[in-house]
Amino acid sequence: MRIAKHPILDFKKQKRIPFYYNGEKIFGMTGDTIASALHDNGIMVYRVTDKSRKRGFFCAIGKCSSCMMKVDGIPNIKTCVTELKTGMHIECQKGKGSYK
Amino acid sequence: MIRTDVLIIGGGPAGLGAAIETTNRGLKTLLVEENPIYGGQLIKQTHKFFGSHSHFAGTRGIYIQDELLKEIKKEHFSMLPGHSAVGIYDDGVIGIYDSEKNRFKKVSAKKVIVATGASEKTIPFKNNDLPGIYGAGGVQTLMNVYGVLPGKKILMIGAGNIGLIVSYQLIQAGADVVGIVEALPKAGGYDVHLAKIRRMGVPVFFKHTIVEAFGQDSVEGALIVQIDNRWKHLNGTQMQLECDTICLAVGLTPSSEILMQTGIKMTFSPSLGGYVPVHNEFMQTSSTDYFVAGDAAGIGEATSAIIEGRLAGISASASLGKEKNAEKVYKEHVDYIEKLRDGNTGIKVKKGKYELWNKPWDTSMETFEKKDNTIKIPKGRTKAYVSIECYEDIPCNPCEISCHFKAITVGPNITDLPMLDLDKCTGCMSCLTQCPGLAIFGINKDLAPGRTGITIPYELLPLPEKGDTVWGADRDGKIICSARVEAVRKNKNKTHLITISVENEYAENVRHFYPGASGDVLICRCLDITADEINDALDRGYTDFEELKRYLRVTTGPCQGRGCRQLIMNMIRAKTGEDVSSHSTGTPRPPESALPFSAFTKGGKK
Amino acid sequence: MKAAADVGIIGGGIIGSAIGYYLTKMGLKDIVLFEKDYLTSGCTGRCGGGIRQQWSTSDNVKLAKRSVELFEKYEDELDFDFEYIQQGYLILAFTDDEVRDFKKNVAMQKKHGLKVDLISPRQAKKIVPFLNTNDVLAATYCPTDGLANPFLTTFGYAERASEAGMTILRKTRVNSIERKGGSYRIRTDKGDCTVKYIVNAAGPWAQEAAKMIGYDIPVEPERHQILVTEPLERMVGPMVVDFYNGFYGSQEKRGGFVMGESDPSEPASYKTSSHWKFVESISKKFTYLFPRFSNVKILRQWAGSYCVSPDAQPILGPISADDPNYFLAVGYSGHGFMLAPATGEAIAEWIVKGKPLTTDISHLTMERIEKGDFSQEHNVV
Repeated sequence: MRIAKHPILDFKKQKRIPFYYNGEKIFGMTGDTIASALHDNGIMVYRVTDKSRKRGFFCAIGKCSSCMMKVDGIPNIKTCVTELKTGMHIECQKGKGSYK
Repeated sequence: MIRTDVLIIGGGPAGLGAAIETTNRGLKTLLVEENPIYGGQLIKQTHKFFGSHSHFAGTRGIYIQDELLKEIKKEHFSMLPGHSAVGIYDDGVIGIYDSEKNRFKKVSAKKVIVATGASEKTIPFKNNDLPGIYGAGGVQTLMNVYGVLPGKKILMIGAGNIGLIVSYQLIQAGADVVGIVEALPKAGGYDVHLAKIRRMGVPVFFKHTIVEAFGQDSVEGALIVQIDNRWKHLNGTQMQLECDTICLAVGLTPSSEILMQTGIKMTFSPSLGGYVPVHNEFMQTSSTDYFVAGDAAGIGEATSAIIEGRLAGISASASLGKEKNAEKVYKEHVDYIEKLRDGNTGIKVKKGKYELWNKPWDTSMETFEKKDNTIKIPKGRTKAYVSIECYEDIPCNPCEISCHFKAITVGPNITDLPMLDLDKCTGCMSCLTQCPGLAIFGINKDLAPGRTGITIPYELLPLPEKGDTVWGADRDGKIICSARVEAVRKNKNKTHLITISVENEYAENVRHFYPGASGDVLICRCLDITADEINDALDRGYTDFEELKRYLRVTTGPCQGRGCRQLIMNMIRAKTGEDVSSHSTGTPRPPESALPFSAFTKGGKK
Repeated sequence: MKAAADVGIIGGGIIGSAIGYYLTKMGLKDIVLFEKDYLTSGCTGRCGGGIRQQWSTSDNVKLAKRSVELFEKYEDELDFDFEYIQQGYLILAFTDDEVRDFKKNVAMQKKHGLKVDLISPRQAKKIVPFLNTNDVLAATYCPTDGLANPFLTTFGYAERASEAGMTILRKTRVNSIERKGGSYRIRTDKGDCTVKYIVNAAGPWAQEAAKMIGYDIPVEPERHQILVTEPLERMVGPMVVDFYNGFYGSQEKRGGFVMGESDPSEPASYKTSSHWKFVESISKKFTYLFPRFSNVKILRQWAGSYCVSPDAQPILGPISADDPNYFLAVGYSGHGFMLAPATGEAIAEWIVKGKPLTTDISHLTMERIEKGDFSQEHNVV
């Protein structure tokens, strides 16, 4: 959910940029991190651990491991501090992640 | 190898404060900041800061980093955002990582100032890793930096200043805070912050804790329970709360891991939030090469972080021979920081620092004599005046500075309570917009016969309009009467003043209002189009009915505009101020009511 | 009103807006668009939104194909959800003659690189399971054809073009045009504006705008009726066209079925009223093709004007050698929306760069009409 109007902050109008989540084309905004864009799209589960625990966004500053995902084929990317770029392929990471 | 006189690690308030001092003394200064945006936690702080007027008090945090940057001398300064310090090696070389280019770089610096801030604490409870559970800092980043709301129904854990402030910010951003859970019997944060959210009706569950979070893929609710003085769960008090987000505001701990690599002395200080580098009053660590400032040197608040940063910058400069009069320069900052740490909230930090500095501590310093600042209003007083509802020793004085008539006095000791001189108060309400705690209200008994005007500092959307009927709420957010909006005064600093009038008997208690109706106003019921959507379209320039119709399809549903045409024309008139009576309002089309194809094919053949 | 501008565009429909958009995109910003009522108030605001590349003339195929390439990028480029759906056009053949024509068309279209196939009734049924294919002999299907919302596309062009500097004057009627040296003075009911270039994108009113500088161009308005049903979950992907019975119908992104027909007996006029004969006639055609949908409810019927040219292809470019800076973008014959991107681009290139570069439109100028040298587009509903 994007905040449309805010009493204090002025969010500048950003450009929509397309990217892929598990193969599906969705959109974020310029200036987004991967995590904020996914969150805006209502995607809460960023990875599933070996013990089948679902993990999502948490600290927002790259200090925890909660939001690590597979990005353009590379696993364990901290999506909360990684800038979203056009056409990125983001995958929900299963387990420890692999390069397969 | 990048060579510099001073390396500052961390571009938050402390790091920027340090850079002001080193660059102004001609020292080549490099600042690395791991985030792409500098400012640290300041960039998410939409509230106005406490403190002395001369040190950004009354300014919203989000503007402060730019103010600090202005004071930095650019010719001696370079900043590398997106670079994190990853190691301090045995030869003193500092390794930094350029995350954008994926490159490791080396820095050689004569002095290093570590201003790496803090990390958030968490607490154990069942399923505390479920998506939808966030740190308070994470929530602030998401909503105030990226403009994304973490959820719709938020449960806040912790009623310290961060928990209270973030709850308020969540409401400002449009979320619903279903409650605040606090283990202690009272809020750890300032009363004025608590009062702000209480009057908006947010329940606070004191002496409660969270037991578990539940939900399939993400949070759907939480179970909380009451606890006794020894934190034992009291059976039978369990309560399920429906929420989609749980926000943890359970404290911060200093983050100075990079300094630990150098082998400097560390100590554990509960009052300072955890392990901190041992440092002196001027922020030098046990090594003359390393300085520390801000939360990394003990959890405090942003204003003292700036001052600590400045002290560290002066210290580092002095150790490089660039400040001969250090003792004199320190004094102003040290005095101010001492003042900031008076009062019930800051005193904990003061005590922790005194322990570190082996300064004598007298427990009498922990109690404050509070002046009574309640005033008696003479019966016949009809002229407007202000009611200052600030009863706590907060280091803060913007109210005093904002009063053009010198009716408010705080005095040199900024933790003293503001005193109002009723005779001097003209009821101009300037102080309402400046008080960071939104704790001053305007009272006007002469507004209309039998009615009292209450002026409320207001930072929520939507702003009401003059003439609106709203609900008056008391200090606990309970609706107690109907009220009318008498005036809306917008302010540049976005603390707007809303004057509502209530019947006299409610005047003592009404301190908030709720818009007359909550929820969406549906204009076109056929196609589910709300007043907000129509207003957005009007704002976007679709003020011609025919264009608006094609933009949103209003009036093209089964009712053909019976329900909404007039409403929409009224909205266009309200927006443009034009007489719309001659405008096209679209053409109702056959069939008058929706008919199946089969009705037209009877008896026909292909 | 601005006293002077580089370009004056007459008409705030899809064509005028597209040309304005491409002009600003190519760096020409000093543009005034004159719209006598509101944006889309002419035929664009009444248009069904089909985007087809399966034409019987090479020129139309080329323009349509280039347009689709551009439509595919618009969601990002215009930053507008214009309700684009790319699920093809299915064109049905009911007679042997049609099958023969379709084969010829498909061969020609393939030569232009279009992905299109002649398919069997069984294959057609697979694409549209609700379709009655009992009498269908064959069909052609091009999966990259599709649908979009013409109003929103116009607004998207207009928003981006005005951001870039184009002035849009609504409720401003062009009354006359005077030659003034090498320029034109456009006289409106709100004031005058002198421009170097004029673009006539006046749709059904194109002829009037041409007469203002003394030309009689062979286009005329013709009423076409259309209706929309209640919105339903999407069940039909492509636009379905039946030339034999004169029917086209599709299910738009918001779920309503939009359909229209051709009536050979319709005389030339500016009339846009609705007639019961239309709803009776099209109900039969629709329920014959889609028996399962006979209880779907009709919501609204209305009508709009085609601006019809002699060969059912647009007339593009300078109105004559004597007036090389008065451009026509007229006579789209019901296909303006789907050809707007490519022709908008071509006209803008012609003005800014001296000639159209991306798409060859040399056969689509006034010259062919004057010489009578043209091939008729047959695939029109």
